[in-house]
Amino acid sequence: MGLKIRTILIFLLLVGLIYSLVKIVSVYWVIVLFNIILIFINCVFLFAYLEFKQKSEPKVKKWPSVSIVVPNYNGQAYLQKCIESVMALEYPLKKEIIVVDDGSTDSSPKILKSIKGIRVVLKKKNAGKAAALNDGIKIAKGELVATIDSDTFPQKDALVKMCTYFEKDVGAVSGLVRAYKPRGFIEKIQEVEYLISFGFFQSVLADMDGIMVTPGPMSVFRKDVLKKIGGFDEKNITEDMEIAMRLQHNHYKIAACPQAIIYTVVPSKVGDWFRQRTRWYRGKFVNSVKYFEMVLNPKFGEFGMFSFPFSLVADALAILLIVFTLVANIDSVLQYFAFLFSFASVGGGFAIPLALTLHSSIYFYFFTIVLYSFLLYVSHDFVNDKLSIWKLPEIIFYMFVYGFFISFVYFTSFFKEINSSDYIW
Amino acid sequence: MVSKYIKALALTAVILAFGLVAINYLDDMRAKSLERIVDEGALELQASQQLFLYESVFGDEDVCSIILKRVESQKLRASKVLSELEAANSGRLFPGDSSLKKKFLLQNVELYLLANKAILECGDSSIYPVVYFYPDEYYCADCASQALVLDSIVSKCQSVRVFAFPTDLNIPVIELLEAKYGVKSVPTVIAGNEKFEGVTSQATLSSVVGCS
Repeated sequence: MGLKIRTILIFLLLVGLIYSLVKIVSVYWVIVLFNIILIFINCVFLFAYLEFKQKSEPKVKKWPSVSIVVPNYNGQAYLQKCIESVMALEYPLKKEIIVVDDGSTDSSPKILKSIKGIRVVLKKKNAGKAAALNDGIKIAKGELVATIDSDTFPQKDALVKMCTYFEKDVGAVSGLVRAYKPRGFIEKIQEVEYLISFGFFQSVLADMDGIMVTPGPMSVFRKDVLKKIGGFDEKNITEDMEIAMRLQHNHYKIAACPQAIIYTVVPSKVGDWFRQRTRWYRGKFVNSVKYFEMVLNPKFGEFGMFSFPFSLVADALAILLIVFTLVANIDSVLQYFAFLFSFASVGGGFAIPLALTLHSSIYFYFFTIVLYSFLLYVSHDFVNDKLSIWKLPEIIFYMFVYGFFISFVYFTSFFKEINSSDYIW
Repeated sequence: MVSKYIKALALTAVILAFGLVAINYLDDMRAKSLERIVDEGALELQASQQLFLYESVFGDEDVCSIILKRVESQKLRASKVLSELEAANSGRLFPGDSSLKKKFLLQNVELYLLANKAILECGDSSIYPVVYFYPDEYYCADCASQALVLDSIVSKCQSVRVFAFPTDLNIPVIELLEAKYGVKSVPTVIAGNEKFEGVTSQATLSSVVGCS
């Protein structure tokens, strides 16, 4: 993976841009600006939440028939448990279960053969999750299609709850994805993150027609809509996001059902987490470019005018944060090393770092943190999860440190993307 | 549907306004406490000047020892106040009153002149003035380490009194001093009529001021 000249140029351009911004305007006003943008976004969500709270749950007159498609690739570890929880899903009508094995090389085909009451499609060649989903959808008989990952265990009532949301114009419904039995610290942080993003933000976004992803672990689609818009994109690295963006592009609504709880296995190692996020964020770049015409396009309603552009702004801030922090402090870091060197040269030994004086613009983080803490509280309230003191370590880590990691992954994904794919530029 | 964006905008504006006012208030508080210290110093100086004036009018009182005591009493504060002033100025969101720093520097110049005069009057003295030139407008790593060296000398040696003079703020007496000692580069330290250019080690300076 050689670095292309273009990547280096873009990197230098970004650094130069921020450096000049810092030099011309002053770092501190840039910090204030960043905080104000974040505060505005959080305020919108706050008011959207107050509106959302007043809405009542929908009622269904006639239940549609449902097919469940489970794509599987080398998922022997959780496959059995997944199928069991899928079969245990409650639904007033008989449901069809289709498992598409995407050319697994482990014992998955054997496991599948031993389970009765499901349709199994065995593919010889591995062709990707999107292709497996499309194969399943092709033979599905139901009016609705639920896609469930093979490392995911929906709660018994998840499907029936999600299906109530299929009103007119609704093309898909997402649920509340949660981490399955989080044990390690990395998993526990993701549990907090999932609660916020899939619990709070996804539900409130749904109310604003702003959902950008129908989570891969479990989502329910209207089959005729899927067929009309051409099924899943088999070339996309995040097909679950692409399909949501395509639904938005075709003016279909996506609803969210926070009452439907779906447990999924989350990465427990930093390396796995990093790989997963790199894929997500690269997928986001690809799909944002693909559907860029929707940005600030009134034809696409609130999605085009607020959710999509502001999610891009938030991502840009996430990328900028790391470059910005580096560039803003490069002077003082260099100065400090020059000072250490100079002090050592006169026999002064190692100088004790001088106490840093905090700039007053730091106070603005206070407002951002207060607002975000409130949203965090709300997102726990959402799932009737009590915020206990034992959760404090991961919550504090999530609020103050995790962002830097996310920022770092965004940063690397961004450069991986412009470095190795030509269709962006 | 539109209203929540307007509500959010309004709330953001309120937070922005409140934040800016609060920050400005806190910055002002910090500046005010420093101003009080500088004002106290000004009063001290005025008292010392009056003592000199008294001596020149009546000529019958030996005031040099009183003045030396006064100069000594201001010794510990000086470097701390200067760094606090610098921090208060660079840490502000809105540009503050930069005259305070200049006021403090002018006071220091005056104190330096008074100390020298007192030494001349008394002949022998318990004060050893050291002058240190540095730039105010830009960062100089050697100056930072020189300042640290001088700080540790001051804390070790009771008699040493360091006067830090910025070379680039157009203060007349400092310019005269620069010309007098032929200061061409920073940092430059003048101790006992000897000039040390570039960063000077603690051992060298200690032996010059006669304290180790």
